[in-house]
Amino acid sequence: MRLRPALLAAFALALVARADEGMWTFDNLPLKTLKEKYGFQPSQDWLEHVRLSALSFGGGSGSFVSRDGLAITNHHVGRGWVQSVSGPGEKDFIKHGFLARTRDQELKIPGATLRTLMAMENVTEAVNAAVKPGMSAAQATEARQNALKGLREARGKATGLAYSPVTLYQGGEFWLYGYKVHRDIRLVMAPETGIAAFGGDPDNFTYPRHDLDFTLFRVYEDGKPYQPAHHLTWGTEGVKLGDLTFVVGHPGSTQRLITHAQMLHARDTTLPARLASLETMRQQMKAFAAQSDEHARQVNTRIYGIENSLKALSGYLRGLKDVEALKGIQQREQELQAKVATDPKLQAEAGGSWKAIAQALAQTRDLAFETRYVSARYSSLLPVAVNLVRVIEEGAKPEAQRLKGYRAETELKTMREAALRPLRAGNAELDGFMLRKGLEEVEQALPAAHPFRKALLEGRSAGEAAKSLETSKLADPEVRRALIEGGAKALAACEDPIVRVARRIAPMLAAQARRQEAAEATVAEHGARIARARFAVYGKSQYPDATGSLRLTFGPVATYPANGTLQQPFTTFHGLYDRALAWGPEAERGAWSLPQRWVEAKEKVNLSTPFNFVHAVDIIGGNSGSPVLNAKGEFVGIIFDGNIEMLPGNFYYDGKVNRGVTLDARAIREALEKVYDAGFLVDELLGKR
Amino acid sequence: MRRFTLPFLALLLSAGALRAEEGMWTFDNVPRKLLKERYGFEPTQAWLDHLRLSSLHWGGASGSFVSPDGLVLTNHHVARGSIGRISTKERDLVKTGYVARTRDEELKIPGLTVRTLVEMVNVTAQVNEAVKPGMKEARALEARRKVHEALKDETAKRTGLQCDMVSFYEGGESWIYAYKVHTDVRLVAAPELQIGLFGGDPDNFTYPRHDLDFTLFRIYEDGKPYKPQHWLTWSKEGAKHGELTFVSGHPGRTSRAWTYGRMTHEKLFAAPLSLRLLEKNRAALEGFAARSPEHRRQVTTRILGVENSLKASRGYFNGLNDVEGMKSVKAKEDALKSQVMGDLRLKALAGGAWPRIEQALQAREAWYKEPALVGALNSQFLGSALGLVRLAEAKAQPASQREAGFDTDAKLEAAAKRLTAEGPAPNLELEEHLFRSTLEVAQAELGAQHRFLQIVLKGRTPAEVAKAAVSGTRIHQTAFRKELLEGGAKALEASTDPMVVLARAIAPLAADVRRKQEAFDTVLAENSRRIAQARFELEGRNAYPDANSTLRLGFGRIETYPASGTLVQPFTTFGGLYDRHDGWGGNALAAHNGAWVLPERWLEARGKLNLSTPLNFVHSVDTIGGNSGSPIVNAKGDVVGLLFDGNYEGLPSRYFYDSRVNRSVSVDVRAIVEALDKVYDAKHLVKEVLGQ
Repeated sequence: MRLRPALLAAFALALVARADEGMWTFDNLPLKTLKEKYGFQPSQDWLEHVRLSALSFGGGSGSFVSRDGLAITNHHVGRGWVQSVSGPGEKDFIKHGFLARTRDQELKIPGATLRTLMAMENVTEAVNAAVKPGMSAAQATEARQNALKGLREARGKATGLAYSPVTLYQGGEFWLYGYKVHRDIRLVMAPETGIAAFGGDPDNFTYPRHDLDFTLFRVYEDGKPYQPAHHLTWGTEGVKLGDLTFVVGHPGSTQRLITHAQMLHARDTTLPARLASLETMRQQMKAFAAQSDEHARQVNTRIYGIENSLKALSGYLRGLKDVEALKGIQQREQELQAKVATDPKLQAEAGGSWKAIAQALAQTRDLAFETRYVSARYSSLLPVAVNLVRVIEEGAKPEAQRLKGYRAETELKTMREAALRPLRAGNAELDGFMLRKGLEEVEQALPAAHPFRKALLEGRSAGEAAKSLETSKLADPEVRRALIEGGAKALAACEDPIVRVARRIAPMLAAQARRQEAAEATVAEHGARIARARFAVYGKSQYPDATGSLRLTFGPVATYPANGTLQQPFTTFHGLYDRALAWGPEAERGAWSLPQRWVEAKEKVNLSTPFNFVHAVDIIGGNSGSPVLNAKGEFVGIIFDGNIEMLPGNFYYDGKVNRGVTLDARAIREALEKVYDAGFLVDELLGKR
Repeated sequence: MRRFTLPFLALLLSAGALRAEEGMWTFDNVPRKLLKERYGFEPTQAWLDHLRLSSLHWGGASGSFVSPDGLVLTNHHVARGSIGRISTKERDLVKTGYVARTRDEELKIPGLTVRTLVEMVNVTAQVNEAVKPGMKEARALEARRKVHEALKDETAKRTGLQCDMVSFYEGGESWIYAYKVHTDVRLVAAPELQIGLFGGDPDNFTYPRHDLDFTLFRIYEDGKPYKPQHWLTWSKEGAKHGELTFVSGHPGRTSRAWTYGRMTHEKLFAAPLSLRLLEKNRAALEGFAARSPEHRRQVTTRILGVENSLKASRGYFNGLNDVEGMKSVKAKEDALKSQVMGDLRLKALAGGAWPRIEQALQAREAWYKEPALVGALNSQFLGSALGLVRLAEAKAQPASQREAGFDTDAKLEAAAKRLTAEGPAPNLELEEHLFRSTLEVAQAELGAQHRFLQIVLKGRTPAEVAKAAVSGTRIHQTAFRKELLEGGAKALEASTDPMVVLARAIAPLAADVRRKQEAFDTVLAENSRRIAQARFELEGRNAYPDANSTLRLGFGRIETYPASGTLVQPFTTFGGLYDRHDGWGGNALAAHNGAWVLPERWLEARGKLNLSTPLNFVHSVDTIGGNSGSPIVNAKGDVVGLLFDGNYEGLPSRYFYDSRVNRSVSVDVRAIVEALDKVYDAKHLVKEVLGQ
């Protein structure tokens, strides 16, 4: 909960509401801050209630919101499940939405599970006790893993809960989290994707927003609606500007504790390289799309996917280019280094780790460029061929000398099976197009003498080489089987053009991977040392990086500066129609086209209903679907995104502009009542039935 | 034109946006070929004349005729001063809005005049002929001016019109612009300030926007509604996304012809200094406001004013810090330089201009802070005292030797009047606070060893100086100022009033600084003119001249732009107005000094209005301050909008135009009709504009 001083100054100038950093574990909440800043003291009951009402939805979050096991999450979190029970035409629930008018109509999702966090046990001592004096680092790690595994199995047997190990503070603490697993999940209500993801790809990651991004499921047990011990009460009043809110959910991962050198490496080397590759790919796809409307149709989804990645990565990069923020990070690092230096034991363990990481990264700087080109990405058959070469070559070696991933017999077997698997039918025209474009890139970027270029093009022009590679017969599994059965001899004799290239580039790729792995190992080892030192110095006064475990974060509903003005804290249904009308249904592949039901509902809904809002809470991917609570612990909204300015949150938190974007509970209620004619669900949510 | 947009084109294409148009074209030189090639539209001479003669020059802004009975349209923010003039405390029409139900109720604005550009006469040849071989620069300039002035008087006599001498391309062309002047202008309908300026200071200069920023006046002649020969037909359908629009108005000033060196100097020195001073000023005001709620009340308006200046300045300077934008400025200049250097005559004319400017800029680095700091130090009192001292000095000099501002007797009189006018009651506490804090800023910026500080401080602290001067002075008393004025130099010399003593002490230094600045300005003006002349000789009329408050035509499509990670919507609607109002907590919360509060009438109208009516839109037309109130017309020449602002990303257009993000913001005419009809119950005006 420390705001960086550098940011604090700018922050005070902007006169924006205070914002609160931190994704806190439930055993270690900053109760003092909550009390001092907000005059709020959650009781143990309050905390237990919100924790036991929360649900883990795989990579997302959710919560129980009725006595009868109604569970709410985002539409984009539940989309896969809705898809799995959808069919063609009327049954395309992704497009048309879904509503079960009776419990009989609720649709069971095959294979779906949800989890509630019932028990948290700190096993750090027991795990560390497994490490005996004289053990090497690797032995110590293994001993810890074994101890954790043993404890996990014992607890599972004793309680019937599903336990997962949770490592916090990069190894500073070890926990076992015990979950109750729900295995009968049924779809109750889903809005149309057109309203759940209104604004489509352009508006993704942004605010002001107008998305009804929720879906309702029901948890069943023994064929009957499950009655959870805890569920969230629906907050009918909602929140207003400045009100304190809480978010309970499962943030996936953050990298806020990586070193300053790692951030600079990402800023100067890896991110620019990835952005450049994505940009190239985008241009190639656009060139393909430009050939005809049908070509465009085939690749539009991919282009938007690439553009979304570009948007997210550019957001990260923008964060890392923020001079003030990086200065703050460097200052904090120097503070920690100074503290470590005063303790001989810590200094011996971690004093040299920052330098070690910086050196390892410096040595891999050229890899970012290399890996852009020295790669098997040019044809979908090339990775298959490289795997084939390895299965044959590594299989012939003694186990100790084999490449990572091909070492154990079981691994080798998996890889062999993969090599023989039939390939999914692809878009041959697109593959051919991308192959030519990729080879042209190599032709332009690498000098003629570069071994990879020589191996790939064999002195020919990109066009000629592409033509030749396209004659490969490797798509046929039988051809591959014959090669595997024929072993090294058959491989050496094989004249298939793709195999010929694969034979020559496999060692290059292996060498590259070895360098990459060596650097990563150094970074991991020294990163862990720094983490342990940090934990020794600061203990639990700080929150751990996100790991997908349940966290609590809090902050007020708050505006932020953007485009020369201040963003409005709430949007309303007025704004939804405003944006839909302003763009019309055709613009940007229909990003702002409204489902017919919503076009008709305009006269029925109260247009002033708050729809989405922004609040200064510290969230990240994985928090999607998290319930948003007021101080009474009532459900007032559901997190579904962050603003574009939140993207640097992967690396650091900036209270000036970092905001969570939430669907207001009042909009859910208004939509259920007026648009979907589902008053019975509203009654259930309000506890009236 | 193309030359300018080329460097951006690459970025533009990668951004996937439509092409947008740079250029503020004079009506005699509209790029018809370009219009035809890009939009398949070729305006006829009649089309252009009609638009020009329907346009109005409105002081520092623009307007247009929109009915055969002389109804004219401009922005509420353009009309605000006029409406204020006919308002009283009890009847604040700026706040409440106004609708004349009959022509009798139309309210005459005393002193307001507006003009139509009737004739444009190119007198370049005659003016240039005035220059005889062998004349020196200064004499040539004078000769030109004399001929130009004589031609102006002649045209005025011939036509009976009001004539202005106008020069374009920094002296490359000389024109006489002849205006018909309308002196009887009456207020017909104005909305409430709160809807005209919805979003207040926070939303100012930004988009998406929701402002009904219009006012209707009527021109009268001989006590009857004036029947203009040309007026714009009102479009019922409005314009669509992607549609071509034209803007006809009076852009005030751009600095696009500045040399790269001058922009760089601005970026490195002048701009950061002015931002620092604004920030310090804001901090000082905030410090004062923090003392009590009453203190805050006293300075709230000032704080908002400073914040607005900060916002605008940051927006302008963003351009100077835009690496790509500045690269293109440099590339353009390098290309021009190499052409100039390759031509002996042009080289003789302008080859030395760049190094000369560079030299002056470099020399200025040593004293660039002085013009902003050596002077009245943000103190009204010291300002008055300095004014009196300067006035007395000027009176003692022959007119030809006086400083600008005092060089005619009329100016002397005006200054005397200003200096002895009854001001509002002085706020001594604020006066002392600002004086002290500005003196501290001067100390920090110039250094305590600077002569100015030595003279002012004399070993004391800024707090001591401010306290002694403010508490001991009588300069805020009108009678005392009159006394000093009448007593002249002698009385000032004898005065022991601490402010007068201080003013006397710093006056010579302040005069030195002004002289330095003037000499610098002259070097820049003369050499900029040489460069401009060379450019004009090379490019002629393929380029448009920098803005100078004359009538210009711009064009471009209604078009989105990227911001905040998404694409900004091309239109807003009344729905969006209520969304933003509700989203900020409505009138109940009145957030940020009530920026998004709505007048009662608008809250009641919510049920009556068609909420889907387009309210504002953005389009890629090249405009700048002065264009406010310009009519926006479609290819048919029908008015579809009313320009009132630009987006935040467009502020750098002071220095260069960036088609990716530079947009103008206009009120949609459909919103004006809908509001007149449903909110203001002014069906008679709807009928008039729609020609029914």
